[in-house]
This record gives sequence, C-alpha cells and structure tokens, in this order.
Amino acid sequence: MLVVRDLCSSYGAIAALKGVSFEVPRGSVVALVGANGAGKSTTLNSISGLLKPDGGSVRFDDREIAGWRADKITALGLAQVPEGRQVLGGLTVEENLLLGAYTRRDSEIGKDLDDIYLRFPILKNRRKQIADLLSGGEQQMLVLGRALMSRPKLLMLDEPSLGLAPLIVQEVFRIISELKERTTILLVEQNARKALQIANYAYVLEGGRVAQEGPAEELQGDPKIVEAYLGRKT
Amino acid sequence: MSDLPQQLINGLWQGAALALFAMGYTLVFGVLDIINLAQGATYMWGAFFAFLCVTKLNWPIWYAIPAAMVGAGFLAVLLDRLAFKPLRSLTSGGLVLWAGFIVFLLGAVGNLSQDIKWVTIVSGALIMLGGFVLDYRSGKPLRTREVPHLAPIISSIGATFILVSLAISQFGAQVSRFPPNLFPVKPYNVTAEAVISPIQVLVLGLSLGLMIILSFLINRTQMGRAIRAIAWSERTSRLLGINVDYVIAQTFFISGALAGAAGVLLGLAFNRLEPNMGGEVELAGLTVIIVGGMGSIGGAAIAAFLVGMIRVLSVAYIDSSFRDAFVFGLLILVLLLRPSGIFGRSKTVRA
Ligand SMILES: Nc1ncnc2c1ncn2[C@@H]1O[C@H](COP(=O)(O)OP(=O)(O)O)[C@@H](O)[C@H]1O
Ligand SMILES: [Mg+2]
Repeated sequence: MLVVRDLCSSYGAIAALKGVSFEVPRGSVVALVGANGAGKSTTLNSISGLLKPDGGSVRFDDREIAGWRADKITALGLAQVPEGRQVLGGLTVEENLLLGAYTRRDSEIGKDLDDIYLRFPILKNRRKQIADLLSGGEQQMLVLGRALMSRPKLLMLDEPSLGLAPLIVQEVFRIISELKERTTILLVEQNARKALQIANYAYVLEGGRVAQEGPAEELQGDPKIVEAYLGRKT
Repeated sequence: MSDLPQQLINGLWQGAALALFAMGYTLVFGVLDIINLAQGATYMWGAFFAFLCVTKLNWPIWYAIPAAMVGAGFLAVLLDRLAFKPLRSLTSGGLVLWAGFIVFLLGAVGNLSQDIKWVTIVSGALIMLGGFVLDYRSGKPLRTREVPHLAPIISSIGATFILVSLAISQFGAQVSRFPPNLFPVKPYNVTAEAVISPIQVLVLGLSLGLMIILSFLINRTQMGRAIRAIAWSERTSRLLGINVDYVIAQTFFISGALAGAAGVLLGLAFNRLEPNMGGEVELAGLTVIIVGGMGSIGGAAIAAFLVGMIRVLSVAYIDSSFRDAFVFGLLILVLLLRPSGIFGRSKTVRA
C-alpha cells in the first residue's frame, strides 16, 4: 500500500533523512521506532507532503506522490495524526470532527460522526466545547477521531502516547489495536515496547537511516533492541 | 435635541453599511494576520462597478448590486494574488499573473489608439487568466518565505494607489452620480418627526441580510470551518485536506464582495461616487475592527454601529469637522483601556 524508497529530506543544510526505505502492506500495522531526533516525524512529514523531500520515491496505492501538495495527498486517503495533537483549538469538538471529513463528498458523514461519538463518548459530551479546553488525553481522542472521519486507507500516527498519563496511554493503545481491524496503520513511537506489542513489523530509525528491521516479535526478543529501546520498564 | 430619533436612524443605516465593510476587513485579518489597506479601494471600485452597470450597460439597479459584489470579490482575489500571495510564496504562475497585469494596465491607462488599446487590455486579461491557472495548479513554489510584517501593508498601499489612479483615469477625479429616479424618494415616517427613505431602508435591510448570510457561512458551512481552521493553523488545515490557497481566495472574495456591497449602498445613499471615497471609510473601518477586536466578526458588526452612531451624532450636535476627531478619540480610548478591543480575545476568527 505504501512503499518508500531512498527518501531524503533536509532542513536547510541539515540532512535529516539520508535514504530511508520501508513498506507498509495493506492491512498491517508497521511501527517506526527510534530515539528522539532519529527522523521519525520527518519521515511522516515527507510522506504526507508537509515537507518536500529532496529525493527518493513514495508510492501510495501505486501512485508516485513524493513532492505532492499535502491536501492532495490527504484526499487520496492518507491521514496523518501529527505529533503534539494539534487540535484546532478555537473550533468546537464537533467542528474539528466535521473538518476531518473535509475531503469527503458522500452522504454518510453524519453516520460516521455518530460512530465516532459511540467510540469516544467523552467527545460526545463535549461536542459543543472549544477543543482547547480538552485535556491532553481527550485531545488525543479528538485527533484520532478527526483522522478517522476522513475514512483513511492509511493512518499515520506520530507519537500518539507522548506526554499522556499511563492510564490514558493504555486507553490510546487499546483504541489503536481496535483500529487495526479497520485500516492500515503506520505507527511512530518512542514507546517502543508498546509499539512492538501492537505492530506486525517494525523498522528502527537511527540518524536518518533504517538501522534494523524485522517482524515485531523478533525485534522484541533482540538483545540489542532490548538494551537500546526497551531497557527501562514503563 | 428633538431630532434625536432621526439622527439615530441615520446612525443605524450608516453603521450597517460600515459593518459590511469592516466584517470583510476583519475576516482577512483573522485568517492571514494582514491588514488589507486596499479594502477601501475595493469598496470604491464596488461602487463604480455598479455605476458602470447602470450607466453603460443600462442594467437595473437590482442586477447592478450583485454584479458589483461579484466584481469587487474578484478584484479582491486578484489583489491577493498580486500583492499578498507572492509575499507568502512565489510561483511561476504568480509571475505570469504580474506580467499580464502590467500589460492590462498599459492598455487601460496608456495613451494608445482605440484598437490597440482593446487588444492590449484583452491580451493582458488572458495572460492574467493563464497566470491564475498556472498558479492554481503548481505544486511547488519557486520560493516560500517569511516576510517582515510591514511588507503586506506597503504592498496594499501600492495596490490602493494603482486602483485609485485607474479609477481617476476612467471616471475623472470629480464626483460621479447615479442617474436620478433609481429609487422612489418619498420617505416613510418612522415617528412623527423621524423619516427613513426607501434607499436607506434598502441599505439597512441588505446589510443586515448579508450579515446574517456571512454569519451562517462562517459558522455553519464546511467552507466557513475551513476558513477558521486556516486562521488557527495552516499546517493542520493542509493535513485535513484543505487547499489553503483556494480557501484564502474564497476569503478574499467574501471580503471584497462585502466591501463592494458597502460601496454601492453608500454610493447610492449619498449619490456621490469619487475615486478617493475609499480613504474615508478606511479610517472608520480600521477603528471599527480595532474596537471590535481584531479578527472578531461579531465584534466588528457591533463596533460598526457604535462608530456609525458617533459619526452621525458628532456631525449633528457638535460640528462636522469634529467627526473624525471623535472616531479617533474612540480609537485611542480603546487602545489605552483595552488594546485587544472591546470584544477581542485572541487573533482567531470568531462570529
Ligand atoms: N523544523 C526543523 N528545523 C531544523 N531541524 C529540524 C527540524 N525538525 C527536526 N529537525 C532535525 O531533524 C532531525 C530529525 O528530527 P525528527 O524527525 O523530529 O525526529 P523524531 O521525530 O524521530 O524525534 C533532528 O536532528 C532534528 O533536530
Ligand atoms: Mg518526532
């Protein structure tokens, strides 16, 4: 579904991605793990069009999309939930969700909205509230719901558990494991332990390159990975 | 003071037209954080578009008003593409647009023989159209940039200059007037002493109608939500699939159409059109959006009635030469006591 080859990106003179290659097969959950600054967010931003890659290829559904405008890429069914939640704080919860369906023209938007409210009851209670007033966990639910409103073929999640209380982190991962029944997921996490539990396959990024890859269970047992990323129990 | 009811009526309809102008002004500010000083020139051209429709095309005024709004809307979009968008990001289409505009201007104001004049104008317009299309389709700008805050202000002052010169070259610097008898003149009695003329009723009614439509568009439609989303975060908006440049063009269109409507309505009510008419409303409009809270549409509407009243009452009871002084006084008072405006909180668009 998504095939990335030799993706290179830079911020001015600083090269952040130095040829990243990986694949996300349809129906799978692929994790992208790595330390802070490894280039995980840059990878997602280069795929979604927020950042123009310097080189390499991004194929989504057999279409070459490297360098496309972000809104056109979203319209193809690739939804990114960016790092740090990014709710539209001045708009209400419901308006945020409705904007999630911006690229859609079908008549089932109202039905999907009810679905989201069923899945996230907190959002229903707060639908008329300004999104800025939600707690961190609620905002994370909101951006997940908003992304789902676009009926994405591929969902790219950037550190969905970052900065959340342990109980909320569990809730977020529970929701992600429910979502994997419905859509393909590319999951970026620093919390490698949790990410590997959920994923089928994983890539480890280091300094803008893929340092290692393999099925998630295999990486979970790899002593090098355990030491570098799974050392501290959380 | 026995004519107070009459003055209040005058303040009301003038305030309503001012509200149209100011809501468009504040809308663009809320989305882009720029003060489009060419809003006054758009207002003036709105009035002249209607004037052209009525005098040259012999259209009834009921067609001329919406036509003027559409014309002023497109003018504002064109202004964005020529004066503001190149500051955000430079594209090859933008350069073509500029080239077409210069050819167009040459045709419009150059000292050419009649045939060559029209060929130049039409080819300029075609090149501009090509530039629009190219600009719309381009994925990659030649350059995106951060420009100093002053740049759009200077850019819009330049645009005002061009638009006013263009109007002077077409209509002369003197006052133009609509043909008489467009409207019945017999006023309605509101109270025993206070009257309101049919044209003033039209100004008030149409302004209130447009205010309701705007509030519906901004609050209840996907387009309005997209406009507010961009005001909040352009980046997040892109991720939601919003074509930011297109929505910004829509914003400018709405803003320009509102300014155009205000221009026609006040032009009709005072039956006085002149190329410099934008300068005066510009000052009042700027006061309104600051008093209302920059970016707040509802605040602008309410503040417009306030400023409209102050203008009318100061002329009626003090002296006409003090009118702008009182408006300025209000501006300074608000800036001293509540710099974010009476209804202002932050920079986002609210209604
Ligand atoms: N906006 C930016 N400007 C300059 N450098 C950046 C910017 N964003 C990220 N970088 C650099 O790019 C590298 C990769 O960053 P990032 O993709 O955010 O890493 P991760 O998401 O894995 O933590 C880091 O070295 C970081 O310092
Ligand atoms: Mg990151």
